[in-house]
Amino acid sequence: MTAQIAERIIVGGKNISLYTNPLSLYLRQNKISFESPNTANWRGYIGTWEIIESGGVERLYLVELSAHKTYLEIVGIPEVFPGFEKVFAHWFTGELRLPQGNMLKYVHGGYASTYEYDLLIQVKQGVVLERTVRKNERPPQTEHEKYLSLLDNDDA
Amino acid sequence: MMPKLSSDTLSFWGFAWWIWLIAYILPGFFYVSYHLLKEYRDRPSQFARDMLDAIGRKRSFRDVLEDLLVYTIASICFLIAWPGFAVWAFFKKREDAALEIENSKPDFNCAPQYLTSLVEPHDAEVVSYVIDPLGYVPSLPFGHLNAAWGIFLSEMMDPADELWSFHIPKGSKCGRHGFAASSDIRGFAHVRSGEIVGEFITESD
Repeated sequence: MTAQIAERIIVGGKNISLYTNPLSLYLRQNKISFESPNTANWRGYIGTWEIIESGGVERLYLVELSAHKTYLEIVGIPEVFPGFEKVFAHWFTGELRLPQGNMLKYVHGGYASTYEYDLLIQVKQGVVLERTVRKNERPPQTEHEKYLSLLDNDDA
Repeated sequence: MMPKLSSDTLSFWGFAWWIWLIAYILPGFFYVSYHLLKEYRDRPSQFARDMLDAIGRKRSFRDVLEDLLVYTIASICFLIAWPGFAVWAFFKKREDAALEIENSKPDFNCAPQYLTSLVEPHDAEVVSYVIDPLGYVPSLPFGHLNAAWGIFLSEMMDPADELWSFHIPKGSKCGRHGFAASSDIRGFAHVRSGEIVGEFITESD
């Protein structure tokens, strides 16, 4: 499986990668699926999320959506959530993972690559509870990777 | 009945031993013949063989001899032990059919141990309204999940159907494959005769 295009999230005015798919439960519950335009986007959409503070409470909102209804036809929030321009993700409970810094290890699948840091945002029913930062170490090489690097050195 | 022994042949119930041997081997022989013919019919086309030749994968005489040896040994084994293979095939087919039935069942996150309480649909709706000061959620039970809730309820037509709330704590095993839940999962389960036949998840990651 190919590494997947990340969702986007606006935090502190910055638009950064989000390695979590908060929309997946909504789509599954409503039996909505999109067409994959390429192997780097099996889910068929890219959502842009934003954490908006109101009354001292931060909440997670979907603010933009680019979803492939077909390979050529792209739909947005109004088509998926009729009558809304933004969507409060009240169904989402879990952890948002925002990779930060340099990539320590690329993994050719999903969101499995490792970065220097992960900004982790805990969310309960769409409401932000806490933020933490996790410092990651470079994962040890697997036997297969050691073999491949050996081949590379031989080629050099 | 004891076999009748004679000077030139051993006979059972009036038939020579070799007739019994042929009768035993015949079903296996037909099965092996059928599969050998099928293998021959499905052999690589001339084009495929030319392509393999072109990339240096031409079959050597040794490859042909190896294939001949393998097919001969396999055929002899089958001719001798075909009843054993037939019994194995019978049980394998039954096992595959049972597995297919199991795989065709819907895969729910919820399991009986996560059911918390029996609820009425109306009571579930009353406490399900979502508050958003910015107004980006409909004023309907379960907010944006209202349509999915409607579909879920529409499948609960049997008077014996029950609605249960459930909670799967983070890290608990869930689903057919028993994967650990990556977040708390809450929702409602459609229970019929003690079996979970549907689920509606209200919060998860």
